Parts: sequence; structure tokens; C-alpha cells
Amino acid sequence: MYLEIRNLKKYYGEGESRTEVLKGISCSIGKGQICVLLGPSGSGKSTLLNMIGGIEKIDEGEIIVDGKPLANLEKRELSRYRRNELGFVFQFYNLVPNLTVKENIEVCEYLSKSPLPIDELIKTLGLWEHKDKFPNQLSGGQQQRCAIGRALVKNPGILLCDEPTGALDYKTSKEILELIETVNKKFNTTIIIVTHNDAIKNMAHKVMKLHDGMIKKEYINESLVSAGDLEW
Amino acid sequence: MNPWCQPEIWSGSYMRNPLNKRLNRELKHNFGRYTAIALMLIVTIALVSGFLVVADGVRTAFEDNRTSCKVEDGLFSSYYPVSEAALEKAERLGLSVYENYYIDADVLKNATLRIYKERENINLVTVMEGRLPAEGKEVALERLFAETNGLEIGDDISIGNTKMKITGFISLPDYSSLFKKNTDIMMDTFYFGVAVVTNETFASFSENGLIYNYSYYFDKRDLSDKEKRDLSEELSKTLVLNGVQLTNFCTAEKNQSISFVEEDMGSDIPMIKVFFYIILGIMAFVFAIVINSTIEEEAAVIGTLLASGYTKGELIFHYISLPVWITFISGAAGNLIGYTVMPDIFKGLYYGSYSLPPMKVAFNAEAFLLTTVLPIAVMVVINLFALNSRLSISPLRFLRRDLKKHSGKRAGRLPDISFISRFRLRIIFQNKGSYITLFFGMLFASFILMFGLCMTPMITHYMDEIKASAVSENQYILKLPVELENKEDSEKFTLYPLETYYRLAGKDIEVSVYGISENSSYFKGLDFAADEGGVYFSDGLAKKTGAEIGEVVSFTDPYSQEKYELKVVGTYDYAAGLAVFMENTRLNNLLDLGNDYFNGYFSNKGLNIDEKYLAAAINSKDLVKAGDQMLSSFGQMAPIFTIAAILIYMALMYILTKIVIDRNAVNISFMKVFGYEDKEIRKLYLNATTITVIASLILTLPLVYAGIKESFVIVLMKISGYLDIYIPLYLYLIIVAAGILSYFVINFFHIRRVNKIEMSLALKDKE
Repeated sequence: MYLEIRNLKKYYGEGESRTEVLKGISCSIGKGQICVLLGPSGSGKSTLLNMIGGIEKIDEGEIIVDGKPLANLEKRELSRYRRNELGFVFQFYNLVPNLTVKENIEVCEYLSKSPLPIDELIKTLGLWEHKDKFPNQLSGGQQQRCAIGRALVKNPGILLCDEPTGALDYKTSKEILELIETVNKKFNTTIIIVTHNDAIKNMAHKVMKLHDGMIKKEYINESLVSAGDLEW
Repeated sequence: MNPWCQPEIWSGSYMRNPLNKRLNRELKHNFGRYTAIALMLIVTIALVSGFLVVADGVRTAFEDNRTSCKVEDGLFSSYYPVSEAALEKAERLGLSVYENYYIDADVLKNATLRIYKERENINLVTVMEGRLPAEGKEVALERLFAETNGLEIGDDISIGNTKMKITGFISLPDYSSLFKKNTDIMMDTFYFGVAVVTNETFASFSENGLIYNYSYYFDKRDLSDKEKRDLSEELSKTLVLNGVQLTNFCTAEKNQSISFVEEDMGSDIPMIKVFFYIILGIMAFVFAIVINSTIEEEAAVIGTLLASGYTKGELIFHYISLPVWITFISGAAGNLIGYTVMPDIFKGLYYGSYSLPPMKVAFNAEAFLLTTVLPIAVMVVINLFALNSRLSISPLRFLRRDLKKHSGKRAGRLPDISFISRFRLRIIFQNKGSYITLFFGMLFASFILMFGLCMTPMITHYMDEIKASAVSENQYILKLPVELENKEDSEKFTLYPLETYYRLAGKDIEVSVYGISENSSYFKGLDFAADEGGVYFSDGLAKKTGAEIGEVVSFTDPYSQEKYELKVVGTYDYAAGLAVFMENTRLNNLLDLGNDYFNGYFSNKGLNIDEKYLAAAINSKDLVKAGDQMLSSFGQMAPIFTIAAILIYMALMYILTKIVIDRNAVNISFMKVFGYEDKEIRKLYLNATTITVIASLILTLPLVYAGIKESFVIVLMKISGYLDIYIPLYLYLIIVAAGILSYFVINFFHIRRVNKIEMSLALKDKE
């Protein structure tokens, strides 16, 4: 398996106020799979995503990516891991406001030794006309496309998406999901999507439902639906 | 009444306003920023308030002393006693003349002590410490000369061959500045002092060195400046007409020993006020940038409060409170320091340079208005303006953090350079307000630093110039033409003082007019045969007055008031003073002195001239003395200027460059999430500031030079000489190095701050 998680635990706070957010999660995701994490607020799905992303410290258990464990990596090694292996897409895009579309994508191109050709990527994202605009001159969907471009330009092994359609309307959300699907197929990128939107599970190879820090349900999707055909 | 209006929020519920609880937290959150602002205000206010309090106290004491001690309206001297008849005629003009004879005695090493007898009617003595001499072999010394030479009351001082006991320290109203000669470029507290002895002791001194000096005092005390000048001119003419051979005639207004303090203070006070206005102007921009940054940081909070029903006025009141409190507390603290600590420092500067009567520190309303009321007013106005305009947009836009105006246009294209360079350029554009303010702040700090540091090399350079352009090792000025038996390498000259109008300062300045032998071996390159009746100006005189070759310049005889028109045919490299050179026969004819007249000798080897014929002997030692004094006077200002400059550098750099980090903190956090390492983030965000700071420091240099050049026009107005603006290269390097060092100290804190920004900040920032 490309990504393996073994008995992962996470605590917040200390003493009496210590809360166990993840209570021993174990799972695995194969290379090139789309995995959707579903669950209500506070179920631990974003925490799990952040731990896979090397942003949150692992308190107990193991995360192994492409055979390499993350648990004991130093700050600098974690930076290298994020730089080489990961791409992030956030709900609110988080583009650098004083950089243009192209420059925002260049932020991550700079980090990669073998980045994707940036102009081609911008065209693929449908942003060529907007490449010299600042984020506040774009619509929400265009901003999210730019954020996906920024994550993809490094050609990462894993794309972590935290509520990628949470701030978008129905039509734009579908366009973004189609884009994610295209990326998965074109680059064989492993994609983990955290979402509240139950319909998205239908385009995922694997679905995990979290509840109160534990995996309540985990299954392989036998009847995949393409992103364009999703409805909610 | 409209039920939606809630006047109690303004009238009675300030203390209950829950927003006030945020003030303490905001102070803690931005403690560094507010500390730097407060520090800069406190130091500036303390300096300015302290200076104005002292300057005002000194001026009051000085003016009171001039009246109570009956300072003269002018003086004149002659080589011989003036006849009773001439004095009587002079007094009929409406003035009183008092004998004020003195002798110049050599004391200590190379010092001159000007000794007067007891003064009863004019220029009365103020005893600062001890008592006046009561018997023979006792002397009271002017305080400053005694202090600079380490003399104490009770010590003995050798005058001629006599040891005399120092009984007290005094100040004399006609020597508030210790100028040995009125044409001296600088006062001299090391090598020149004034003293008083009893009439009996004075009578025992040899008549050889006696200067027959007289003080005059107008009978009418309400004369205008013009009437005073006219009466003085009339006195001078009357004396000349009655056969008095004047060697000196000087009104109090033109006498540097009397007027220099006033002139110095007259320019010091506006200078410190200009300093304060510039700092206040810079701080106004800083306030505006800080408040803008606060609004950006607080956009979501402001949006929520506006959406919840808080009015714009309430929010303005909330956001203005902390800056106004900080300015108020800084004003109070600055004034406290200004009235308690600073007076001793500034008194030291005044009393270390001038011989002044004692002063009292008193409340100064102007200083209070300027240093406390004005900054608060500026703070309120700038904040009101900035808040009022920024808070005009809708709550929704605050909630969306959409504070910028949309232009719809594409972003400016950047040149095809590396991503890192373009990123830095974007950071620079994003923070252009901060960087521009920082540029002007650094320009001002660099100027202050340069002003403080350039005096020493400039004076040293001036001394070197004087040495290099010296005509001869010795100049002897005679009381009357005396032929020498052993002429050695001597060469005769005629020296006569004339005055010319100095337009910039709006006053006449004294110029030494030299009549030189046609084939002078001391003056090379002066072609009197081809000068067509014109004159050569010394370089300094030409530069100071702006006279150009071919121009006709007017001169006035200060004694007879005769006018002369002299055409400038060239300049001569002579740095020792303001001088005009012409062929001696022509000068003698011009002044009606007779063809063969002369009153001086140039000599390199030195001449043996009987003291009774000698009015003055000038040699290279005098040059060293003048240099020492100038270096001492200006040198004490250098540390103050340096500290002020470094403080401005550091405070502004801290406040303005921290804003760059604060407004990009979330983006920096995201960069860490993407995999950027601390070093790379510093490259993007901090190096943009580093490059801007270094570039700004270098760009300020030509402006600093231009500023120094203009300032020295004002500084040079006060002194009766001319200093070339000379700033050695190493000073520019020091300025840049001081700025860079200050920045690296601040950058050290910024690096720590950037490293401390956590990735969780990005994850918490969910709009």
C-alpha cells in the first residue's frame, strides 16, 4: 500500500482537559486511489488529514508513506516530505493575495525538482486568461482552480483536499471535482478528500466514515460514478 | 427619540463597554510595536522639551543679566589713550564712554588671559562662585576658562612673573562667548579667558601690553536698531575726526563675544523645532500605517461588530483609545524626563560653551504645547482620518476581508526575472507605504548621524587646508609702520578691515583686506599687473558671499563709513579667513594711507619686533588652538546625534518592518505547510525588507549630502569664516554600516518571529 496508517492516536490539551481526538485509526490507501473521508464536525477527519500532511504531530501510532514512517521525522525532514510528496487544497483557497495566479502557482513550482510545465497546467486549469490577475479579481471557482494548480504543479504523490468544494456553488463544485478526477487519472495521484458532502463518496475508490475519532465504516466503492454525473 | 439611537454608549457606559477589555490584550499582543512607538516619542519629547526648557531659561537669564549688568552698546580701542576732549565730544552725541582697559597676559601653556580692572559702571561682573579679589595678588577668573583648564578656587595662577590666588569664578556680560578677536572663526574656551583684578593690581601691570579699550553706553535706552547703528557710526566718525587712531570699533550687535550666544540660540531653537516637526511628521505616517495594519488584522472582528450593531463612531473610539493613551503617557513620561534629567545635559552643552549667568528651570508652556498637546492632536487627527475612511465600507466586505478597492485591471507585469525576485518585488509593492515611510525615516536618521559625525573631519580638513594655503609661518601686525634693522625673510604688507554685506545672513561681515607687494615671494600666482585695478577674493570669501569673477562688490570702512567698490578679478587659495588681496600701493592710495604705508610683516623664520610696536603676532600655534576649540565644541554634539540616529533607525525599522511580517503571518504559515523551510521563508519575506533597507540607506546618501550642504549654509552664517563641505568617503560607509547594523539587530528579532509562526495559524484561519 502507498499509504498505511496504524493505530493512530491524537490528543489535545493536558491533564484533566486532555481530549483524545483520534482513538486508534488504522487504514491503508493504494497508489492512485481517491479516498473520501466523511463524518460530522469534530469527528477527527481534518485532524487525520493534517497528520497525514505532517502538520500535526503524531502522538501514538504510525503513518507510513511509500514505505517511509513519518512519526520520528525532524522538522526539516517533515518540510522535505511535504515539499516532495504532498499537495494541499483548502476550503478557502488560501492564495497569497499579492501574487498573481501564475505567481501563486510558482510558489510551489519553486519547491519541486521536476515540476509540471506551468503554462500547460494553467491552460488545463482554464486559467490562461486570468494568469496575470490577483486572487481578489477572480471568482471562487477560479481561485480554487488556482489553488489546485498550486498543489499539482509539484506533481505530488498525494493530494490532500480539505473541503475543496465547501465554499463553492453546485455548478462550480462539480467542475472542481471533475478537475480533481482528471488529475487523478492523468497523473495517477493519490487523492484524499475531506468533505461533508455525502455525494462525493460516489467518485471515490475508497470511503471512510469517521465518528468520534474512530473509523465507523470503511469500504471500497464498487460502482464508481464520474464527477460530472454526481448529484446532490 | 429614535429608539435605535443609544446615546448612553457615548455618555455613560464607556467603562462598561466590553470592547475596552480588548485594549489590554491588544497592548500585550503588539507590545513590541507600542513599546517602540512609545520609546521614540518619549525620547523625542524628552529631548525637545528638555532643550526648549533650558534654552528658554538660558535666554531669560542672559537677557536679564544684560540689563542688570549694564552690558555695553559698543566698544572702541586705540593704541594710545583717547584724549579727554575727544571723549567729551563723543559723549555729547548722547552716550557715556567708560574706560575698560585690559592687558592680554600669557598664562598656563599657550593660553591668553585678558585681565580687566574692577568694573563699577559698565559690563558688571556676576560672581558665580567664590568672591571678587579684594587685595593684590588675587584674581577672579571667568568660570568656563577655569573649568576647561582644571583650575579651582584657591589655586594659584602665574601671570607674568607673579603668582596670583584665584578667589572666585565670574561671568562677564561682554564675554558671554569667549572670542579673543572678533574676526575669530570660533570662540576659544581652552586658550582664552577673562579675569578681573583690583584696580591697584591692574595699575601695577606694564603699560607695554595695555590696550586702551573703551565701552560706550547710549543715554536713551529705547533706541531702535537703526538709531543705534546710526549713533555708533556717528561716534566712530567723531572719534576719527578728533584724531583718535582707532584699532577697533565694534557695536554690541557685531561683537561676537556679546551677540554670538543670542545668534546661536536664535538658530538652535528653530533647529530643534524643525527636528521635532520632522520626527512628528514621520510618526504621523507611522501612526497611519499602524492603524491601517490594525484594521487589516482586525477586519473580521470589525465586520462582526458592525454587523452586530456597533456604530462606526463606537469603533473609531475603540480603535483610537490605545494609540491616544500611549501618546499621552509618552508625552507625560517625556516631559518628566525633559524637566528632570535633560536640563543637566543641555545646561552642560550651553555652560560648557558659553560664559553665562545662572539659570532656573521653569515650566515652559510652548514646550508643553509642542511636545505633548501637538503629538496627541496629530495622533487623533491621523487616526480619525484613517479610521473614518477605512470604516466606511460595508460590514460584509470586512467579513470577507475585502478591504481593497477593485480595479478590475490586471496586476502590473513584472520583468522576466526569477520567481524569488518577483516574489520579493510583490512584497515590496504590498508594503510600499511602510517602506516609503522607512526611507524618509532613515533619510532623516542618516542626516542626523552625518551631521554629528562630519564636523570632526570637516574641521580637521579645514585646518589642513589652512596649513596648506598658509602664506607664511608668521604674520606680525604692527601698531605703526616700523622698519626693521634685520629684515631676514620679511615682506611688508598693509592690512585693513573692511566690511561687506552678507546677503544670506542679512548682515555685514568683516573682511581682512591685504595690500601685498607687487612681486611678493609669499603670494604665488597673483598677477597684480594684469588685475586691471581689481582684487582677488580668498576662496572662502568668494564661496561664502557667492561673488563671481567680474562682479563689483561693495565694501565699507567700519570706522569712517567710506564706501568702496572693488571688482573681483580672481580667487586665491587662502583658507585662514575671509580676505581680499590687492597690490599694496593701490590699497594705501584707496584708503589714503600714503604710498609707503604698511602695518605688517610676513615672515617664515620669525622676526624680533619690540612688543610696544606689536599689535598682534599670529603663528601656527593659533591655528592649533582654533582647531582644538572647534573640535571640542562640535565634538560634544556627536554622541547625542549618533544616539538619536540609531534610535530612529531601530525604532522605525522595528515598527515598520514588523508590519510586513504581521500582515503576511498567515501566508508564511501556509508556506510552511507547502514545505518551505524557515531559511527559504526568510529569503522570501525578510530579504525583501533587507534589500529595501540597504537600497534605501544607499539612496539616502546623495540626499543626505545635499541636506548637509544646505544646512551648512545656515551653520556658516553664524561663523565669521568659511568651511568647505568635506565629507570623507568613510563617513558614508559608517552611515550605511550603522543603518545595516541597526537593521540586523532588528532582523534578529524578526527571524525569531518568523521561525515561531506555526502551521496551525494557517489551519485556524478559516475566514
